Amino acid sequence: MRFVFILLAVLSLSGCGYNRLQALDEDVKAALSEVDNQYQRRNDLIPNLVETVKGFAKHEKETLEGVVNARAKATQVTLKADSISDPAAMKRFEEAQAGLSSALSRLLVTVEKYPDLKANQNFRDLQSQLEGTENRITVARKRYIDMVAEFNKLVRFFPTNLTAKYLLGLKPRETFTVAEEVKKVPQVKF
Amino acid sequence: MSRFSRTLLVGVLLCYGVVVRAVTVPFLSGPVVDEALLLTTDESRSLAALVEQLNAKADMQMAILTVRSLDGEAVETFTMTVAEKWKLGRKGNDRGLLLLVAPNDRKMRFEVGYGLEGDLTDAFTGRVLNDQVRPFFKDGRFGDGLAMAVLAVGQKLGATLDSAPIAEPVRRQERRGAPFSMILIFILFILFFSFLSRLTGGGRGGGWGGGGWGGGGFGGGGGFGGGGGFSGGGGGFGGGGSSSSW
Repeated sequence: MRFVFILLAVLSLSGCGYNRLQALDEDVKAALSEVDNQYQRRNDLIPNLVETVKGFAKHEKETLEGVVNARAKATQVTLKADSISDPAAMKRFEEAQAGLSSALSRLLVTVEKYPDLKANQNFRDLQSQLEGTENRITVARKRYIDMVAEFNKLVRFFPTNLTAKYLLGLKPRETFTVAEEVKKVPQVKF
Repeated sequence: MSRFSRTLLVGVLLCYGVVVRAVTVPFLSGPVVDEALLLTTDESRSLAALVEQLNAKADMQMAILTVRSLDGEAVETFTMTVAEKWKLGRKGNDRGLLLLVAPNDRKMRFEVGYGLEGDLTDAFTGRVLNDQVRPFFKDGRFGDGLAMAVLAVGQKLGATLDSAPIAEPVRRQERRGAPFSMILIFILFILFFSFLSRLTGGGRGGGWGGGGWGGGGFGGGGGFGGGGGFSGGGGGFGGGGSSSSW
């Protein structure tokens, strides 16, 4: 009798998405740490970039300081596994990174004025690295968003929502605002 | 066409236009998929042999894809879509590499699999595209430019490849924008024709629209079965690599 009871319990658990929910929960966390990772990678590139630009464009003190300050702010805010269900933490992180993004793009606009710097091999390498990192960030964000969408579906749909709510205590996860993904419009060059 | 049916047509186009958009990912038929027909048969064959050599010697899976146009999509988005579909490289070692060329947009991009990111850094792939491939592409020598890229990757990974020597590109003067006289001639040209058409009083004929390349897409066909044995092995990509233009 007890055996039958256990068997039924196990069957109903896996039938109600217990395993899938657990697995997806881990996947979401992994995807999030990948996002954090790539932002961190960008932070690591910046000191080198600032030093290189400084060598050629001494007069752009304000822009350079803007980048350094924004980076300092961005390194303080990291994404941790528990910020996954905390909208405020997510928002703080996004704001800090967006601040750094805009400071960086201001710097790259200024750079246009210095042909020597643009021709510098070191700077060109850094630029490739920065572009690559921005792209990795976009990819990591997209994968996180997709993963969270799948997870959240399971948390909301019947009957897995019962397992999620009463057994595991899982809530829908926070996702990124779409702003960053939409931003990438095709450029027109003359 | 009555006014009503014209409105209806616009409505239909608006509703379905969104669905039609986006470039389709071609079928991975071999190491070189030349949808844009940039290569001669000989070039295509020797390039494929070169890539096969690299793949064997460096234990990786590289593929080259050319598409005529990106249809307004960002290169990075498109290469990622292709990489996720083709899954170049083996699952677990993830040593896949994709090189895309889109002549209408004059864009090219290396998409580097996870397992190769350490050797083929963004800076390295950027240098290869900008310094080694671009001069050839500017001369319209796509086959040689692509062979150059494969050789550069081989060298970086310590694989010596046998290939026919490639003649140096004729470095053309980089032109910054069209010269003033060209622009002037262009404007005069347009003015002349608009004047002419007004004289002849012709109504608004044909118009542009229509035509367009788009659509098509080879893909399809093929079928599974016998395939030549060049298919992806489940390699993962994370957005590494770099883009360039010519």
